[in-house]
Formats: sequence, structure tokens, C-alpha cells
Amino acid sequence: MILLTALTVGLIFGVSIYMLLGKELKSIAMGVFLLGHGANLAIIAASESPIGKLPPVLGASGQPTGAEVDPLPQALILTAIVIGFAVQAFVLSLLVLTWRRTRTVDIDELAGPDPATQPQHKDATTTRMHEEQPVPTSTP
Amino acid sequence: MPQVVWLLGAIFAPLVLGLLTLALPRRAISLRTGIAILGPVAAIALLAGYLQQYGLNAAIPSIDWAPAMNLNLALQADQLGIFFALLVAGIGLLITIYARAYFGPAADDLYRFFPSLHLFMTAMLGVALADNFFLLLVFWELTSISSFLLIGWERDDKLAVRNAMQAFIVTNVGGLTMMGGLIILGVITGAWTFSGLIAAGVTSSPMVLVGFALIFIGAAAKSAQWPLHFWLPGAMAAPTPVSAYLHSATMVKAGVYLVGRLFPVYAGNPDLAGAAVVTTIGAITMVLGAYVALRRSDLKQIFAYTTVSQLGLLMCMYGVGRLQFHGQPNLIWDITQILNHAMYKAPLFILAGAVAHVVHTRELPALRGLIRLGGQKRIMAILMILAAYALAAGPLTISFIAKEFFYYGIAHGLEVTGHWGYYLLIGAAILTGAFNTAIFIRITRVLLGQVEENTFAQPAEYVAHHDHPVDEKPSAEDIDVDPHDHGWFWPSMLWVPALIILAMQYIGGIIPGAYEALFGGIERSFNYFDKLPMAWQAHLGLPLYMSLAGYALGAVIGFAPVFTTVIRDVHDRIYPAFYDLVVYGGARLFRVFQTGHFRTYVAITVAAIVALVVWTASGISGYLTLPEDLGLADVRLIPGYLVTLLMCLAAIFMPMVRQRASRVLVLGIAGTAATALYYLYSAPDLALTQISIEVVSLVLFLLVLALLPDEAPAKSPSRPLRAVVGVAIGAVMFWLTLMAGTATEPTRVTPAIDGKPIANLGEYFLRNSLYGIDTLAMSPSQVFGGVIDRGPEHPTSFGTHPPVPENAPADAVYLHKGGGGANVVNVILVDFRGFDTMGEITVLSLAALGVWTLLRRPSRHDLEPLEDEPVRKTRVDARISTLILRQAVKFLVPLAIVFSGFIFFKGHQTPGGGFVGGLVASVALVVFRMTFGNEALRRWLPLPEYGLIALGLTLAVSTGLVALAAGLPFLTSNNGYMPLGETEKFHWATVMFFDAGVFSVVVGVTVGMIDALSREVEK
Repeated sequence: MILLTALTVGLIFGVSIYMLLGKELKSIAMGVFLLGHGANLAIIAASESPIGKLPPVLGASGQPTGAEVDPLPQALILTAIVIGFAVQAFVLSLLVLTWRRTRTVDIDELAGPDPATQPQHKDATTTRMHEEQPVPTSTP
Repeated sequence: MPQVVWLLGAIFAPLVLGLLTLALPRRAISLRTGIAILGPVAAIALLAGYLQQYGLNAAIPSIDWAPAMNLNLALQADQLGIFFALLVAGIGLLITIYARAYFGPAADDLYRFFPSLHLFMTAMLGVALADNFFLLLVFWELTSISSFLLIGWERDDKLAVRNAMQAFIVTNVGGLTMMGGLIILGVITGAWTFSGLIAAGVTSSPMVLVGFALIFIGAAAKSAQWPLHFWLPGAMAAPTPVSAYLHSATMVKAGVYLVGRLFPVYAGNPDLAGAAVVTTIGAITMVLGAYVALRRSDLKQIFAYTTVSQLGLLMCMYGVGRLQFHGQPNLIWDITQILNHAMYKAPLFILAGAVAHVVHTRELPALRGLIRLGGQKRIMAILMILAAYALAAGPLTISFIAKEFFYYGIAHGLEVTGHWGYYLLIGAAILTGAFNTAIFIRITRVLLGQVEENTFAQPAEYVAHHDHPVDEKPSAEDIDVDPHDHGWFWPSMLWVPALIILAMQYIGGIIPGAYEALFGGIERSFNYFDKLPMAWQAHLGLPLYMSLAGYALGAVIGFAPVFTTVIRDVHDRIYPAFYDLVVYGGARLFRVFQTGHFRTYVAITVAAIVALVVWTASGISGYLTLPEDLGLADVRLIPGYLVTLLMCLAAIFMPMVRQRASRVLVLGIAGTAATALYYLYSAPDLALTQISIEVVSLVLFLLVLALLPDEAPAKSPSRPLRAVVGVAIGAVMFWLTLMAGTATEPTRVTPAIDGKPIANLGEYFLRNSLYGIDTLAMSPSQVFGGVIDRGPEHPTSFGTHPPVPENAPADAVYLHKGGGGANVVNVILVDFRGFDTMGEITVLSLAALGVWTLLRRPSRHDLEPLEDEPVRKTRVDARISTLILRQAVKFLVPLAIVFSGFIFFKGHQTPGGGFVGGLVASVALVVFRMTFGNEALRRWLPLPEYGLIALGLTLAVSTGLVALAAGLPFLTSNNGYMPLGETEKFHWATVMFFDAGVFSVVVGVTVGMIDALSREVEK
């Protein structure tokens, strides 16, 4: 089981980073959500193989029988799922706002002209940092 | 305790009185000066009182502040510390008086000057008397700060500000380096005070050496050692009183002082290498400083470079002094040398300022024949010649004695070791002496008017008062404007302080007995002599020959027309180069990494993660221990194969589909597959949560995608590169996951809670979720917090009880740390890690607030729809309103709400709880809203969504506060049984209120966000 999960996690991460490196905001957002699944699965995979194990709910004795799976990753993931949803909503709202304000969802257009590809373009409105004059270099 | 109070009083008296002057009216100059003078006077009086009361080297009990972090108010008053403190306060007193004369009755200058000066005084006194490392560091940095303020005195003068920055950065970087060194020594020895360090001693090891090296770098930066000395001549932009005080007599000695402080530590370690480095750097600084001083024409620059030279000599001396002599170190603390330097260099600076004040130039060639001008100018010229004589270390001065010490040290080193390096050192010492002598001769010749004009290169003119070059010679008008005092008192105070200090220099030199009586008690480097050598009793031998050689060579240089042109110090280029490197290099680096493209950031982050993991993993084998039999053929794994296959397919299709509905579908498949996987992992809570989220999430996507355009088939950049990065991170995550799931000892540490080892945290939670087994039976003395229980049968009993252990003591009481819940996941969420969950519901609330804020209303920044964009002309209804749905929803939604309540209440014992219950309720409400619309939902909801969130957060926090009010830690829970009729009982737990808060927040957030987006679509 662990091998299967690990393969799935690897694949999910690969695909989501591939999508994150894309050009279009919606597919980047999709990549982020997929990444959430990958992260959750990676955490649950840490709780050893579940084959033949029980959910972490105690019986009447109140003592673990040794067959329960590790409850900690589950507790961690549970809140991660809910927060993941809230983040989804927030990211999507940002997307809507970006579209409303710029009428583009292409991140290259959002970033403005690329200084690397257009080094001669002086009028570019990109912020240029630290363009101040050098200080005088002499001492009295 | 009272000892500390005395010393603290002495340290802070100047600052307090200095700040007090700020409260005075600007014009009250006499009063201001008077109070300022009281500062150092009070410091001296308190120090004297302390010595009277407790004497030297009294043990001073430290006041603990944060002992666990070694932050204590530890002071010490040994010879070195008291000497330094007295030097600082004494010279400080004279400088305060001199400053009043120097600035004249200019109210504004003095208003600003005294507080800054006195801040420095306090800082320096603190450096002298601090014992704790960190205390010293704080005062140390304060000296840098006050020095910065004073060098940049002329706030409109760009050069002065730049030099102030240069000095600050150099000394500050040094200070940080030193901090590293002190921390290393502190960690190694466990002694975080200097006295403790000296008592503990160190055994040499590479780490100790690194520590000493770092400290030395800090000391070298502060004490202007080559190649970091360049800031000191630059610091001459400060007003002359500052130059005389900070940059010759006191602050620059801090580095030397620190090396002296640590001297006993490394002197006791003959095998500790590195003293040669100290000697070498000191020697280079010594010669270089003296040489450059000779090639300068501005008085302050000359004296600044001779200061550099002298500081080099001091460092050099500590390096040489490491040798043993008659079973004792060559020297302990070199007080004479430090004192001597203060006693001729401070007068030289004072006089440079005084001369500039009366003749409006500090250029040496322009002072030709000053002595013939009569009046005060003649006195100044005579005093300057006398001070320069001490600079040349002529006989009958303390300077001479101090230099003899140094020469004796070298001679002795040669005698003991026979190392060839000592011959070089002798050469360096003679050369330095020669340059100093030459400077004395030249100054004397110029002041006496015995040189031709243009003997030295014609320099730029300087305005006396403002210490920066101007184009023209000051006109008569300027001189009138220049704030000069009338009367005799303040004008004479321009040179009287120099006279006082010089008098001590000569009295000590002519009558060594007097000097010894004063300072013999604290100077311990008298190992060579029974008594101080009388000037005319100089012991014949190498030291004397060295002195004589220096005088002779100096006389030749002084009279011969060599080395007469003004040169620039090549090291002045270091700081600008460094500055440019940081600023422009930083800007370049910034442009490389901060492209403004999200892609770049993702790629850099991912590459860094991959590199780190590969780097870590490559060095260690055995992290990955796969079991021999992976059990891949196990039939029980068939569901696993199917579910992971589904998940993988969803992931693969995700980047391929472009149509918005298909995308939502694929993401939904991924979520469902995840749900199934959680089920396979025996995680019912997770499966429940994920499936509920999936429903809400689907609605969310459909709403948002309706607001966005369909994706144009854009060609994405560099597909292969993206694929490579993706594959790399995929491989790394695969490996990490596999490792995390299969790791065995030793990668898995065995933690212990309450002293009991456990296999992992999960096991601890399992064991203690219901009853708190690990904390069950404790003797009464171990009980804390007041949760005392006397057993299951006792009438006052509460909480759930496991069977009483057989070997439990009769008087055992039960301290319950159990959560009273069988569903361990829920207990972890609301009890063990309740604080964490509280943070998480806060995050949820903030996300909801964010969504509402973002979507609140159209803004003027919004752009018009594009030309080719289909504009919605009519109001869209986000409702799906078929008759069947309406009828079904009417019945199903109340049912679902009841069901969510059931899930919530049973959640502590069976899968469920606040999160799941809240989500189920949300699903019901979202469906309701999709069917009947916003208004219906408003009517139906008892509270608006933000009300639900506020209620939830309040509930959660109050649950914690109740425990706090009961004297228990925040969020401590209690639980027990409540009888329900005859046979049934209800298991209650206080965390239920907390969980109700979670429920409320989840409902508020989910419904609120969906509703906000729906309204957006409906616009």
C-alpha cells in the first residue's frame, strides 16, 4: 500500500508542479488544489500500511489494542482538508478579482514586460530597484 | 546588590544628566554646561565611592534577569575595568568643558551635543564595567551608535554622513562577528561572563580558536587595525572634541580593552596558536599608521593615523606579551600604554581643534610660525610641541616608559624564542618610532617657523569649525559670525584641558614615583622592574638601542626633504568597493531572482527542495529500508490498486483538459479518489470530511468558473523544462513518502512523554485519549492544577475511569489527562491539540473575511469587459430550481441538519465531530441556497454567516477561558457521565462547547463563501 501511495504522491506532485509552471492562472490554481491532495496523501502515507488495521476509535476497554492506525496524521489532515477548501475559495476569489481588474488570466501579461527578454526597453514601467547614484568615494 | 547599584549609578549618571539637559531652555547655556559637567563628575564620584566602600576586585553579586538564557546583570570592577571607567569619565569631564569652549555660545550645537556625548560616556562606562558577554555587547553597540551620531554631526554634510555610515558599518560588522565569537566561547565553557571565563579557562580546540579569531576581528574593527583601520581617519569628520574623546582616547581602545580582558584566557594557553596573527596585524597597523601620518597635512588626519599606529602597537604588544617571563606572563594588562596614549593624543586633538578655532585652518603648513603670533596662539603652539614630544616618546614622559615596556617585551621575546620574526618586529618598532619622531620634528619646525614655505605640499584649505573643505579662505565676515566667546574663561578652556592632561604626562614621566603611586596598583606589567625605570636610568640594552635608533632615523627623516608630499591611503577604497558590491551586486542578484514571474519563483523553490533532499539523502544510507516483501500480490491490496489508479488517472488528465466543466469533473474525481484512499487508510473521519468538502468544492468551482473566461489555447512556455522540474519533484516526493512510511530506527526517534517512552506520538494519543492511562495513578504530592479525583465510586467523582490498577496505592488520586473520548482523531483535534485547532478555525474565519472583502462590490479599478467577451445582458440566476428538487430539498435539508447534529454529538466517541458535522450541515445549506436562493437562506439561518463565525470563535475561546478561570491551563477539559433515566447515561465532555464552536465556524465560513460567490454570479 505504501508503495502505491508513494507512487501516487510522486505523480500528483509532479503534475501539480508542472501545472504551477504554466502560463494560465486557472491551471495554476488547479495545480495548487491538486498539490493539496498530494500533501495530504503524503502525510497519511506516514502512518504505516493500513492493511489489516482498524480506525483509531477505541473500544470499551479504553486501551489501544495495537491494531489501530496512527491517529496523528489523520488529525493533521482533517484540518488541512477544511483549510484547503477555505484557501481554494480565497484563491478563486483572487482569480475573479484579477480578471475583473485586469481582464487577463495570463501570468506573463500580469507580470508586465520581461526585463530579461527586453533589456533595452527603457520606458518599461517595471519597478527598478536600487537605481540610486553611487556615493562619493573620497575621504576628507 | 548595593555594589551593583553603585556601579549602575556610575554608568548611567552621564546619560541621565545628559538627557536632562534636553529639558532646559535652548538659551540656558551655562546651566546646560553645568549639568553636562556634572555627568562625568557624578560617574567619578560614584566610582570613587564604590572603591572606598568595597575596594578593587570585590565580588559583585549579579542580578539575574533570564538565567536560563545567560542574560544577567553581571558587572565587574577589577583593575582593568575601573581603570578604563576612570579614564573614560576623567577625559570625559575635560572634553565636556572643552566642548563648551569649542562650540562657543552656539545654543543649537550644545543642545544636541551633550546628550549624544553623554550617551557615549554611559556606553563606554558600560563596556568597561560589564562582565556578562551580552551586557558588554549591548554597550559595545551603543558606543558604535553614539559614534555614528557624532561623526555625522554635520547632518547636511554628505561626506560626514557617509563617513559616519562607514564607521558604523565597519564597527558594527565587527561587533556582530565578536558576538559570534563570544557565543562560541560561552557555549564551550559554559561561562557567560569574563570573570567566569578567566576562572574556567579554555583548552585549545579548533572551535576555541575560531571563537578567539571572531572576537579578534571584532576588536580589530573597533580598534582600527589594518586593513579595517580606514574608518578612523574618516571619523575625523566629527567635531574635534569627539575626535579627541571617542576616536583617540576611549572608544577605539575598546577593542584593545577586550583583547586585554581576554588576555589571561589565552595567555594561559601557550599552545593556543594565533598570537602570531595578533602580533603581525598589530605590527603592520603600527608601521602603516605612522607612515601615512607622516604623509598627511591636516592636523586631525595626522593624529588620526598616529592613533591607528598606536592602536596597532597595543595589539602587537598583546601578541608579544603572551610569552612567559619568570613564570609569569610578559604582561597582564597594559594600562600604562593605554593611559599614555590618552595623555598625549587627547591633548593633540584638543589643540588641533583649538588652533583651528583661532586661525581657521588645521593644515600644518599653514600654521607656519604660529608660536610667534603671541597670546593664546603661542601657548597652543608650545603645548602642541610638548604633546608631539610625547608622541615621539622622548625621555621624561610616560610615553617613554610605556615604549620601553613594549621594547622590553620584544627584546625578551627574542631572547626566549630566538624567532626570526622578532627581528622584523624590532625593525617595525624602530621604524614606527622614527616616523613618530619625524612627525614631532616637523610639527616643531613648522610651529617655530623654521621651514620654508611650500616645504610640504600645498593642501586644501579647511574651515576650522566645520571640519570640511571649502573653496575659499574664510572671510573676515565668516570669522565674525563664528561663535566666539568673549572674556577670558571659555577661550582659555580651549587649551587648559590639554594642559591638565599634558601635565600628568610629564609629571608621571619626570617623577615615576608619582605615577606609580597612582597607577602602580592597577598596572601589573612590572615584571621586568622592581620599580619604574627613571628616564635617566634606562636600562642599557636592546630596548634603549631601539629607542635611540628610532630617534636618530626620525631626525634624519624629519629634517631631510623626503616623504613630504601628501598621499592618500589606498585602504580608503575598501569601503566604497564594499558598498558598491553590496548595493549593485545586490541589485543584480535581485534582478536574477526576482523576475516578477511566478514561474521563476516556483522553479527556484522546487529546485532548492530537490537539491536539499538529494544532498541530504546522498550522504546517508539506510534511510530507506523497504521490507523484503512488499506484499504487492496481497488480495487485500486490490482496492488500493484501483483507487490509486483512479487518482493517478485524474492527475494525468488534469493538465490535459481545458474545458472548464471537464476540469471541475477531473478535480472532483481526484477528490473522490482521495476519499476512497482515506477510507482504505482506516480514516473514517477523513473520508467523511473529504466527501463533504468535495460537494461544497464542486459548487464553488462551478460558480467561479462561470465568472472566468474559458482558457484560450495558449502555448505554454518550455514544455520540456516544466516536465523535467515536474519529474524531479515527483521523484523526490515519491522517495520522501516511501521513506516516511517505511522508516525504522534510527531515523524514527523514540520520544518520551511524562518520562514514559512511547513508540510514537500516535501511540500516546491512543493510550490517553479516553482515560489518560499514562497519568492515572499518582501520589498526592504529584498532583498539580487541582484536578483531583478520588476514584470512580466516590460521590465527588467525575471523569471516566478505567479499572483501578491492582497495585495502586490506597491514597492514590487520579489526575486525568485523558480526553474522555474514544474517537482519537476528534480528541486530538479538540483536546490534545485544541489550541492548534483554535488557530485553524481562526484561519478559516480569516479566509472567509478575505473572500468577502475581495468580492464585496465592483471597484473603480475594475476594467470594462473585453470587446470579444460575451457580456451577460441579463441577470443570471444561480438557482437550480426544478420542481422535484424543490420538493426533495424541503424534506431532505432539515433531515440533513438533524443528521449533522447527530454526527457532531457522537463525534467524540465515533467518527464525526465539529468539522464533519459542520460540513454536512453546510452541504445541506448550500443545496438549500442553490434551490431557493439567497433571501430564503437568510430567512432560514438563525444568524448571518459572520454571526455564526463570531459565535463559534467566542465559544471556542470561552471554553479555554473557563479552564483558565478555574486555575487550570488554557483549554483544559473535563468529562463525565450524566445519568439519563434509570439505566442510560450520557457521556459529556467540556470540549463539546469547543467543538460546537468549530461546527459554527465551519458552517459560517462555508455557507458564507458559497453565498458570496453565488451573489457575484447573480449580479
